[in-house]
Amino acid sequence: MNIRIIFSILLVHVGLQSHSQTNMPCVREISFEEVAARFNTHNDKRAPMTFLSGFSVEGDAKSLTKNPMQVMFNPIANVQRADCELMRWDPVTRVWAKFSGNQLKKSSEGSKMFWSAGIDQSGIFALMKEIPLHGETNLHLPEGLTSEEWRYVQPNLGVVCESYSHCQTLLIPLPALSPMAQITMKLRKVGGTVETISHMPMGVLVGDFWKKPDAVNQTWDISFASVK
Amino acid sequence: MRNLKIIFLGVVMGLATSVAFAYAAHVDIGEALKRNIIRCQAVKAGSGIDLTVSNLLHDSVYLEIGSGWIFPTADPSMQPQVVSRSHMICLSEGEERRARLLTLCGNAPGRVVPMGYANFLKPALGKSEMVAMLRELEPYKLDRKNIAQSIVWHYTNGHSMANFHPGNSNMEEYLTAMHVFQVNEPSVVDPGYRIRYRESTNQDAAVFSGASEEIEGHVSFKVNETTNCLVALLDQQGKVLKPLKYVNEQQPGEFELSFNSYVFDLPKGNYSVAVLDKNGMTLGELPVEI
Amino acid sequence: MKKCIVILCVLVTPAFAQEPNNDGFLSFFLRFDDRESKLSAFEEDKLLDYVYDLFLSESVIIELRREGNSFAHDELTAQRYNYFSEMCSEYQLSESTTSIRIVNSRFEEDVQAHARIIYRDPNIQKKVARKEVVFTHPNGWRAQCFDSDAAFLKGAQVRILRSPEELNQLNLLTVDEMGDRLEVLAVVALTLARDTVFPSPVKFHIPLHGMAEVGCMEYALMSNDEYSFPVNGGKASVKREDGLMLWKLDTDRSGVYVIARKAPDSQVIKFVAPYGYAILSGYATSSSPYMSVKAAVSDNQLSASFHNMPEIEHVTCEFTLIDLQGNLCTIAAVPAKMLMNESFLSFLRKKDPVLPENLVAQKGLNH
Repeated sequence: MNIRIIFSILLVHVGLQSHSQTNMPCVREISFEEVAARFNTHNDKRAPMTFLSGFSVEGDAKSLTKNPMQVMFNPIANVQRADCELMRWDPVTRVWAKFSGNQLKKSSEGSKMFWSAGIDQSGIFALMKEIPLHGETNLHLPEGLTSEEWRYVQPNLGVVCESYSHCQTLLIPLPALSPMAQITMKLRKVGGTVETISHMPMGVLVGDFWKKPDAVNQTWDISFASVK
Repeated sequence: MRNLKIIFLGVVMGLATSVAFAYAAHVDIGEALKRNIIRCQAVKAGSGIDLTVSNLLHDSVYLEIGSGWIFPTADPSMQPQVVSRSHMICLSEGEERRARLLTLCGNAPGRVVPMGYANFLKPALGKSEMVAMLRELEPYKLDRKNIAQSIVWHYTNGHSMANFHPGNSNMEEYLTAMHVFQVNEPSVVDPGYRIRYRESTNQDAAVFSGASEEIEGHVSFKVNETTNCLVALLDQQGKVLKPLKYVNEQQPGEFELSFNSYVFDLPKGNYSVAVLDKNGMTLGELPVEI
Repeated sequence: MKKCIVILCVLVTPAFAQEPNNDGFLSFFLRFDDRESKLSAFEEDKLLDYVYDLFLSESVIIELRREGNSFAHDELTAQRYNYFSEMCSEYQLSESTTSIRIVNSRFEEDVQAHARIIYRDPNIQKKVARKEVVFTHPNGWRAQCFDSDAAFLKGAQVRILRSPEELNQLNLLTVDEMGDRLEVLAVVALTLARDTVFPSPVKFHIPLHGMAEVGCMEYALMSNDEYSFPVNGGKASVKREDGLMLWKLDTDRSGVYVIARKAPDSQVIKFVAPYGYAILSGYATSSSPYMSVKAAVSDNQLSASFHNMPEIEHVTCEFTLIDLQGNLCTIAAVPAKMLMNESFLSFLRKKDPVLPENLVAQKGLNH
């Protein structure tokens, strides 16, 4: 009886394996909204990058290795090809990492120019651009509040930053923040209650942005006066 | 006076006969064999055949062997040899000469003719379209390139343009050959893709393996609104077998994309290369036969 | 078996030819078997690899090495000399272009070789062999190309885009990739039938009426949502030839080609977002000179700048703003000068008179 059960389990296992090996190839777009919800735009040094576009590739690994898929991007106005890199999501470290062959090459199709790279493995990929201006902006929480985790999403720059450390000052690795950017925070009040603030526009939390439109590397005080 | 007339007539006659002889001695190989002006023996050699020709005429012979002449083998399973470059052999009275003719294979599934094979039949001129085509190609010296061999098989074995793979030709040579072919054969429809067949073990372009290894071509498609496009190889049921290209955010317009895919792992049959939008709708499709 | 090995060797040994030297000559070496006056089958095949290059070459030199000074050596050299003479007549190498020389020293590049054949680079020869023609289209443009390419030019279209309307339709931004503004002199849309790509570039002679002689840069435009200029343009010029102002464009494929030069102006115009709003995008346009420039919006979306602007008299602006609730607001066709003098807010007020009073309350600002 035992042997029969083991044998049928083995059969099911082999069947499942063979099924997974002949996975139907599938390529799906990853939008910025999806990145904002599930991922971030940190590179392997945890510096923020600009997300330009993304896609996921699923399929038979062997077939992809033998016949890599060419990914082509239309050149982006005012963006240099050399500043862009194709990166692969590392779900363990939650960063986008370089992989072999991630450099974009110029390729032409008739009279059209593209930037292209070869993909020979499945995964989640994103075209990222380095942010030339480095700096940081501090957001100071009111007394009695600490942040347990936060996520800053700035669509115009294609940036998503996140942190899972407890702090009273949120250190956002960008020199200037947009009032249209949104922040999601898990805040703990002294005494223990945890509250979540979701998708709050920065312009609501920090009204002083408009007073100094050219300010960089500032520390702003977060005010919850207008937040209900 | 009478003597003068005779001398004059003699000179005119002499000139006329010499011109007539000169024309008679300038012959192509078919006519020369028919009129027993020459005797020839073909022997298979590297890159072509060695042709030993003996002049049977009591005069010089200018023997023309134009491109497109076919030397069939006595064994029909072997490759007939198609002359790819015209050659003129000048023979004095009674002279015997040997010349190397560059040849291509005239029957794709035919067996390779071994070196030294001498059992060739009387040469015959190939199809007039092939002769014209080879003549046009001659100045470009492509007769040792795979593309020239593929073009010959188009005429001798009815191969489609899908078999016109560049092979060992560089892009300039290949495009030149294609231009010449398209100018000469405007009615032949280009299927829009090429098949690379497995090379023979000795990389002999004259050996047709018939085993397709890779396809490459262009697929046209129309985009009505900005979308991501996936170029993929599909089976007859429309199932994606291989994703080939992914174009991120393609703006509206009409486009053509190149593709290439290894197909050695696929059984022979009908497939298609399609361009799908992000919802899986077909934007363009190219039927391919592997 | 031996024969098979020889055949295999012949087939697998790649033909070798040296890099052409400065004079465009190539050379290859041949060996005779010991004390033989004929090349081996292997060497003959190698010779055959080149024989048609020699046939078309305008200059062939066959150097034959004398191996020694004895009578026997002289006899062998003479036989080998005859071999090459025969080869020349067999392959109809012209006497006027082929010479056979006897040399006494070994060849440095291949000391074992008995003969060296030097000939003119066949690629140079090929260019000579291909006939060049000038194709004239009924619409007045010409193309200098190879004879075989001319048939593909009949269906080609050369369209010169001139009016601001045509350029607007093209959605042409007049800035290069570095953000520098350009003065566009002419835009040509070239469409080759069946999207042909020529084996080598064709020189198109495009007449540009009503233009002065000018040196400029040539760009093949990149197409995405807007046509924009790649960073690396080639040198170009418009010159008078046969009474016409001609732009000579070298290309092998369809595309939109532009000649332009860097605009000399250097004015920067900066706009700051009104309270409660952020800037999404901005455009500045003018018809004289033709210009369409996208604003550089700061990362924090609170200011937008236009660089390398001309005098702002004829420039109009368009901005798209967003408020904190995500509502969009567009200010279109506003003279730049007016927008600089008045504030954004006054414009918004003109659009929506109720706005200023209710701004704080409606937008939920903690101001």
